[in-house]
Amino acid sequence: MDSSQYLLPKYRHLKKEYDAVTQCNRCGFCETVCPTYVASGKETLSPRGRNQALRQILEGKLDKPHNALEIFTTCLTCHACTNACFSQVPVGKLMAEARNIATANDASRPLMFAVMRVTLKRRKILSTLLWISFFFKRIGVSALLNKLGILGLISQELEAGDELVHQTPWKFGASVTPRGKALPNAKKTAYFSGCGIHYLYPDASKACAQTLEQFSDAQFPNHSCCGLPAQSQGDVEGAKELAKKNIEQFSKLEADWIVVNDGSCAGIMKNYGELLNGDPKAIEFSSKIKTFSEFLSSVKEMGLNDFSHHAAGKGGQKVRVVYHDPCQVGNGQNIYEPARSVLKGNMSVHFSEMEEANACCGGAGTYCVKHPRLAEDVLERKIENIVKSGAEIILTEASSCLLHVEYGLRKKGLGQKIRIMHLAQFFEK
Amino acid sequence: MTTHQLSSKSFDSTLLRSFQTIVGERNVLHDDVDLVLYSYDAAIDRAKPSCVVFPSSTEQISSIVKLCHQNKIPFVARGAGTNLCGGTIPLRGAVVIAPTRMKRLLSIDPQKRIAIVEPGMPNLFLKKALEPYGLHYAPDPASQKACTIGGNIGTNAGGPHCLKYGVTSQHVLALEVVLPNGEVVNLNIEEDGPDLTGFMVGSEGTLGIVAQATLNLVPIPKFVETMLVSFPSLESAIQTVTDIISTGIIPATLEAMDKLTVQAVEGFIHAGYPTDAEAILLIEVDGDSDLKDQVDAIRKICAQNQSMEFRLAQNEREREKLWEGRRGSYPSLARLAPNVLVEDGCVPRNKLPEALKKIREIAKKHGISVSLIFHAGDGNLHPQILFDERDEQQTKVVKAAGHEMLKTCVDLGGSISGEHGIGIDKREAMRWLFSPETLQFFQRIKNSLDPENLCNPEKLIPTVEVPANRDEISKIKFSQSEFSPQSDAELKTILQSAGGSKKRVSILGSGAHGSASVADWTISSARMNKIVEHDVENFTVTVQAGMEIADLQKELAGKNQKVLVESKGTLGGAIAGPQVQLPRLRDQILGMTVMTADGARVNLGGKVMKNVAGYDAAKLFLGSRGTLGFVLSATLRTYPAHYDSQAGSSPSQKRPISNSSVRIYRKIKSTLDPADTFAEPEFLKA
Repeated sequence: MDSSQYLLPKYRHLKKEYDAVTQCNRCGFCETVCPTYVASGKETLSPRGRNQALRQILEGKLDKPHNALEIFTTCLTCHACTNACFSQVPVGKLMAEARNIATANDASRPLMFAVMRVTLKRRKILSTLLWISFFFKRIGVSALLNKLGILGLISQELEAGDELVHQTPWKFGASVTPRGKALPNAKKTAYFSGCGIHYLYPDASKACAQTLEQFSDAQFPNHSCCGLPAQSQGDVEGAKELAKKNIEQFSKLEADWIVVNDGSCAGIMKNYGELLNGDPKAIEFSSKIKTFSEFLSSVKEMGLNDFSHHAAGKGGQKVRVVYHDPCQVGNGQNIYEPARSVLKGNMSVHFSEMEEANACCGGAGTYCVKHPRLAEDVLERKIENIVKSGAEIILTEASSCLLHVEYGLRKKGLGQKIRIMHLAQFFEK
Repeated sequence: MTTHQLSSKSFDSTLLRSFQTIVGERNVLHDDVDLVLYSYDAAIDRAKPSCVVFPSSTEQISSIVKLCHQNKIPFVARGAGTNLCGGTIPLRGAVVIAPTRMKRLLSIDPQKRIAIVEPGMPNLFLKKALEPYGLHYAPDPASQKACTIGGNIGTNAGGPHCLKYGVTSQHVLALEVVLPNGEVVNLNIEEDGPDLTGFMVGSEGTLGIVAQATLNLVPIPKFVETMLVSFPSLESAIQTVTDIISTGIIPATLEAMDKLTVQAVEGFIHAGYPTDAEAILLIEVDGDSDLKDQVDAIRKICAQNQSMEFRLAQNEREREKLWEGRRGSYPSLARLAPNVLVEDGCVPRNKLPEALKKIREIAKKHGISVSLIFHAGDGNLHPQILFDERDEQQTKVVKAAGHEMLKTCVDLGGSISGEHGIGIDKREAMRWLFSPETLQFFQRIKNSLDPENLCNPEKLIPTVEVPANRDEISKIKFSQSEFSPQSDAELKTILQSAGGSKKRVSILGSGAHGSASVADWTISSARMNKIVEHDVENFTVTVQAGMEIADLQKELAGKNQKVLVESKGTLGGAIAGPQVQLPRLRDQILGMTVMTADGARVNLGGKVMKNVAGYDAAKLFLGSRGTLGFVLSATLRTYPAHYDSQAGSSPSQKRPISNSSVRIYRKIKSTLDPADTFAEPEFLKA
């Protein structure tokens, strides 16, 4: 059957998305795995609801797509629903086009997209902007404005962001001490440092870079954003442009692996082939992408187990460690084992599974800034599970998880007792 | 797809603000796009609500309902919206009351094995919360992952494990219910008088909204054995099922799949099911001691019935793999098309092969392909048909075929729903199953508790025209005051005459001690004392109420069977008297025929193991002391004579009936027996 006859003519180009969304037969099995549904109990915050709203729009049964924007933007794109779905409806991925449709007539959109495309493509501009704002935060401007209630007036997102971001580095990115000795049979790697880790967690970035240098023939090129922020804003074209730029830049390096320090970036980069409609170059690029845990796992035999200065817990006991799966790595790519194989193999740590380790923490990029209340409801459950596990250290590999879980621990007054860090930092020499 | 129009009655902003005051602004949805997302459940029909309200307490539900009641606005309770019968579709622009935020486990008492939960708790979350205690809540519907306990109670949900452990109504011990007028009542099965708790279960939210439930828990069995057996024909598989039950073994599950389903499953999940067999059985036994004897017995029975392959799971991983195949039976089809119609018929177990044959014929006639899974032990079958709701013609054909399949089940002595419910989808099909008198009986009960028809309106019961001159009302005047009718017709004449001459009647044999003294007439059931039907293979017996239970046991013993009813007095007396036996008589009764004061013969339930069509009104007559109607006959489960259980008196005392239960009873009484023909004992008068 040709399904395009049921599509509004202006959405004919979205036949692939339409066919995917019509596979939702409304059984509702996705609801209890959806963090926003579990937190709210609302169909409007459920995967089934999101599917139905998108389907209705594409079929022309909802005449004001903008009204569904909230339904689409509240999706964490954590992919938990897709894994629970018999028909594997890719709700998280569909949300990019859904948000695109819902904002199509927004007056502010062209400007926002333009600014995003410029800053995401050119790190120098983004660096300058962030440096200035971090400077203001450091000298207490934001705290003052927040106290006066002005920050919230300017933008609620700014207010939420100010609370979330605790560390404001002076220096972004990483520098590497050369290994200084030859590694036989070493893989040729290229390092991709995601914006979140680059700007907010330079220490983690440094640890990643150093590990890469230690165990492979690494190159450290300059590059742009992976495109995930554009995609999640609904700027699918912008995301494609960034993907193309990255593919072009990295293909020159002829690396065996492109190691990505942020799981969220790795997720979309592993999907470049799909994003660019099966372009062979994109598929080849995607096949080279390794999450940081994948890289660690592949070099763990090379002496990784010997070093972890964090490996001492309370009273000389082994340090109690749990792993939190970033959604784009666990739920999104079904990559669960590498991080665990590294941790289980390390004799100096006590690794255990926390409950719902692969459930979203509510961070989800800029989500926690845009929907702070909902994000905190989702975070609540994650923190509960962390506390229940008795862990002293939580390990993960994505900046938004680092940021959001850290915020949750701080807010609960657990910041001193429980730490969260990037895998690479844990194993750093 | 049927799209129901929003009623023209405008939904004013004052009301909206009142709702917002009750639950908070964030907990009311009223934007058009949000309402669209509350216009569906997992079935086909759609209708938009006028707003959606999320209460967080019993008091809030009550306030919302009161407000609706005052303003004559219809309302519908909706949990996860996973039902397959359109049961939660807000017709007439109803307000959706969604207690999904009320999902707390309020308490667990591992000693007494009870849990008190809020209605929005998902079934699976409860299961997980109980695991550390070594306990579980037995009903396990396929939608267990998402569906809520409130929804389970509304539909009297089943699941594979119900064969051994019983459906939802067997596990609901007490309920807090918000009635259609907003009044909050507490019902408990330990209360004397009619079993209102059991009656509420399965009423599909048309009689009130569950705000809290006290549930019975079962220990997680220590031993489990899972077997996969393949058969060259469906007949041999079903014969195996009957033979297993005849030996007195009640497996935890007895699931069957036809060849088409197995092939679809194997194409998707690769559970290692044999694709060449005509039917397979998934048999699981459990218990607290070694199960080797049971497994051996089952293996022998299978072999006697030409089984092809007998596979016993050797470890947890293998067991999981076998179950994966069963659980995959729906998903493996769901991925193939935008929609799957899952029908839900029930037949006496031994009629399953015939039902299947006819269902296949119907599918062939309509040019559609159907695959079948069954809860074979219960006679509950689920034909699954793929379709695409966008294709209106196809949808029509599939719906029609589905209904024909249900009709087949009715013709074979079964029911139109074993566990999914009636809702809007099968409302018209109720006519095939029930007489106009019975439908009217349901309607009257509904009216008595919801006279404005606001609580989940236009569901479950089809509209019935009252026949203009049904029968000539008997004008016979009797001079005697003691009766012992021999037939339904005779009883009808007596009752109508009593009504006409304003005589009070007391039924002898009903356990109605105390009411005889205030009665003008007595009617004895002593001469209505025959076995109507003993279906040996189906393990059911239909018995007239006047029969002595001791006599019944004697008759059954001749066929090597028995009932789990205490051998004291008549069956009618056991039904209408105080409910004191264990196992509870309420769980032994599958169907009942009663005569109401106006002489209408009402047929409730049937002789199938699972049946959720219509109100479970047989429960009303349990403990009713013969005040709501005259029980003519009842259908009971039977067991092999050597089955390891006997009925005995429960040591616990009955609680006195509460005032609120008396009020509910009185409403029902006044509609079923407006002339007060059946005399009442003091405790029901209040």
